[in-house]
Amino acid sequence: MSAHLLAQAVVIGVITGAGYGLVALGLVLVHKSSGVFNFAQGEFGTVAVYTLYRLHDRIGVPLLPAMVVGLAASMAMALATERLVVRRLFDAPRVTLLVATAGVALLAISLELWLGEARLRFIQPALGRLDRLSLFGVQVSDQRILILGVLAVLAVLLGLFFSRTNRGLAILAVSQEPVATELMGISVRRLSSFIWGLAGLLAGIAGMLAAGDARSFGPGFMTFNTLIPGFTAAVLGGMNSLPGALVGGVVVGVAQSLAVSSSAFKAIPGPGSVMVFVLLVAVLTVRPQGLLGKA
Amino acid sequence: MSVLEVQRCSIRFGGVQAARDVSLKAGEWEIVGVIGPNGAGKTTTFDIISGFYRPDEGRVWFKGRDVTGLGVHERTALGMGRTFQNVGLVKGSTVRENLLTAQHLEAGYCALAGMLGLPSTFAAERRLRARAEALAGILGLTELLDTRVAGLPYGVLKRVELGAVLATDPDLLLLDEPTSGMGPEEAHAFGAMLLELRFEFDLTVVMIEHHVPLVAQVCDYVYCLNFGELLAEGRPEEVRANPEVIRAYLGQEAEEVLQEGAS
Amino acid sequence: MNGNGDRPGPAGWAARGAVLAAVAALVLAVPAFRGNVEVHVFTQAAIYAVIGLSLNVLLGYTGQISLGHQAFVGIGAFTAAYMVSRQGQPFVAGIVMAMVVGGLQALVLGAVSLRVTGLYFALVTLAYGTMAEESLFNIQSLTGGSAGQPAPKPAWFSTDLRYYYLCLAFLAAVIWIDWRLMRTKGGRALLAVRENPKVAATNGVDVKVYTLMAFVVAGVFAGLGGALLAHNDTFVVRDLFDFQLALVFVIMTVVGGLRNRTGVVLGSAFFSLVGYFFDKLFKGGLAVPGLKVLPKEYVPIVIGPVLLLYTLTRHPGGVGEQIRPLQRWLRGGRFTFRDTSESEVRVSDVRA
Repeated sequence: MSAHLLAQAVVIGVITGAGYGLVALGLVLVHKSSGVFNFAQGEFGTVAVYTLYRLHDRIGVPLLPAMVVGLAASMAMALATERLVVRRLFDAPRVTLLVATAGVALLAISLELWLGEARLRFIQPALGRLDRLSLFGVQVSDQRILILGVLAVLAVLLGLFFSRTNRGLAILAVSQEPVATELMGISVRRLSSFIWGLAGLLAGIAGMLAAGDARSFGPGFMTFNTLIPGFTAAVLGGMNSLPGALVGGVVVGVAQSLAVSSSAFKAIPGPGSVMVFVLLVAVLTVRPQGLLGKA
Repeated sequence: MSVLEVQRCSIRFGGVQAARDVSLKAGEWEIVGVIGPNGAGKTTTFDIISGFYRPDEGRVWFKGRDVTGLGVHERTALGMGRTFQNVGLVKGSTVRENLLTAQHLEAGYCALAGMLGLPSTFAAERRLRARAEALAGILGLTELLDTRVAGLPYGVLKRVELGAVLATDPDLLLLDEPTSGMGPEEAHAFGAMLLELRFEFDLTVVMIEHHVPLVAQVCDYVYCLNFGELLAEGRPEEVRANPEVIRAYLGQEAEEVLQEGAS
Repeated sequence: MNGNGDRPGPAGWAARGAVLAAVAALVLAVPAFRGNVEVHVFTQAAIYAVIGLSLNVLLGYTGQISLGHQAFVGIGAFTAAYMVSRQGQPFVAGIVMAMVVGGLQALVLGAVSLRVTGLYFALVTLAYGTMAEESLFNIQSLTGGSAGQPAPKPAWFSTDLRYYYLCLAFLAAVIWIDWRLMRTKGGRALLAVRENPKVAATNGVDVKVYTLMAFVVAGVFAGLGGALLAHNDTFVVRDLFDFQLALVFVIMTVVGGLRNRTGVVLGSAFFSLVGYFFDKLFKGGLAVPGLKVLPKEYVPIVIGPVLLLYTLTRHPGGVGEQIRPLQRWLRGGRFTFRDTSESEVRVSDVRA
């Protein structure tokens, strides 16, 4: 592969990787605090986009309020999941919860198919210029710069949240020692809602950015496109490490992009998903705690 | 030749030396006791003997054969049986099913044959069932055969576990605190039963125990561990009177008090 | 039912016999009087039951999550179709190859499961399913690309009705093997491995070997199901084997009731037939006031998750648990809702 193609692949990889990193952030957040693998994280995001589309493109609500409502929708879905599903299965094995959240994801997809747009929809991106930058021939739109910027800011904010604020520390305490924390007067239930609401918000942001960048969306698109790469990124970075989610996201994005553009993979259909699968299995067998996780 | 010989086994977990240079022996039909305060490394030693851990150093010999490299199920096939502190049973299954599961190696047919339902497997299953019922009879569990293990009282669970381990047709029984939760009379009855069973079933027994009278009642030889090391060994009376042992259990001052009170 | 003693009298047995005869009539006789389209649907129900039983071996008996089961089934389907239409092999060869391939790729995943456990393995199976969907099923020669691969019915069973009885026969064989498995050392070993691998090992069970065995059995049955599915539709298209299908398989097994053979068969059949029954009730879809019409294709994936969540939170034993009083009665016991032996069915009791 020529250096130019390689550079292009890397740039694309970093951009998609940023998107995966955003999803991974939400996954790590939930796992860090409750040990749950949230298979519905993708759909929280899809729901935000569907809401935004309905309001803005179909009904004509101005962009900003529509986005706010969209984010509110994903948070609401996340909170509902926490209330009706996660709380009921509080003491159940984590795998039961995994299956339950997968069920939530399927329900969302089925409703999107039934009540929403069942086919791929094309939309105009939120922000202006598509050709703000050109890196090695890859167009870096304003949208893409936004993704990277948002990711960086969120990562820093979340990191600070967990290490500096009382609530953040409380969440960490709950994840390690729920009974003792409850005895100290901290409401585990309220924290749980907070975490899931935050995860919903993150998912909504990720969904809108992804849809805006791809200029299209469809039923279950976040789950189909970003859930597994997101999980792989989270595992790569270390399931409990927030900065790890970012690093993991970029690594997964770049690896996938290289696989897609590499001529060595030409014979294999779907090289991107093969690469992600191989990465996932490799990390789990060779270094299960991830790059930034503790052994 | 001893049935079991543990030669200078050591193992380390992270920063903790859980066992260091532990050696013990058990001869045919002997009942050997392993005592020591909590955290002394007794269960770790059992885990090394039965194969859940490979020691960093040292070897384990069973019936004259070096089994240090063998897996748990392989040692069971050779005749090692083991019970666990928190009762090792399939709790979701019934007593009968547990006794049948324990006869895994005695089945006389392979899993594939069983799956296909070959005619010989039906007869084999009948035989296994009969054996399970016989074992249950010996241990007074006949009424409970079709009850789920999960709800049963602790003392009964211990009996079921004993039945299961006997079902594997062992030559060596590794019992991890078999009388925990039992009162003195129950423990004494258990001891009497153990003395009978060992000749009836041709067993060598190594048991981790806290019940001092039981140890005195049944054990031919005792090893005392502390902090992962062998502290003392000998006949029960010798070990019991050993000041190091007393100190390990009760602390320095208690030893003095005991010395004053004893005569 | 009788009031004295433990054994039912002649009238009691007659009643039980009547119930069983009714079930047999429903399954064996009714389809003979229905049209081809309906028989085709019934056949699919039987095939789904095979698939449910295969997933139950992993999920229920061994405690291993498989969120990529659609890949096992799909590989079986494409293998059979490929063998028959591209290689010109007879039907039987296609079935056998489908089972072999299904077993082999399940074996590979099983090997991975020995290193990667619990939640992380569930993730791997999902990733595997996605990879199969996007990569394996796009191999033109194997799958015929977007056009799909033809899979004509075998000569002796070329009518829908005959093929239905063939599939019933396969289902019966699978049920037999499942029954014998759980009544012999293999199944007992799996249950022990699932609940307490240490205890399983001390009972002489080679945990690794039996875990792999479970995967192979599941893979073989799933491959069989896939092959039967291919010939039922006479055509296999890759779009069928998606994430939604993977979840439907899990849902039908969980809702059916893990470790409960009858429950799993009923649950699987239900999810296969629900669209058909829905269509009978609401021709052209259900018109929900204020919302779009609900077409029958979406019914399984709309009610599926709802039933799943309800089962997981309220009745983990699923349908199987609910019909237990009936099963006890049929075997000659009393009909009572009180459970004499304790039930503590925990869904997905996986070693995490």
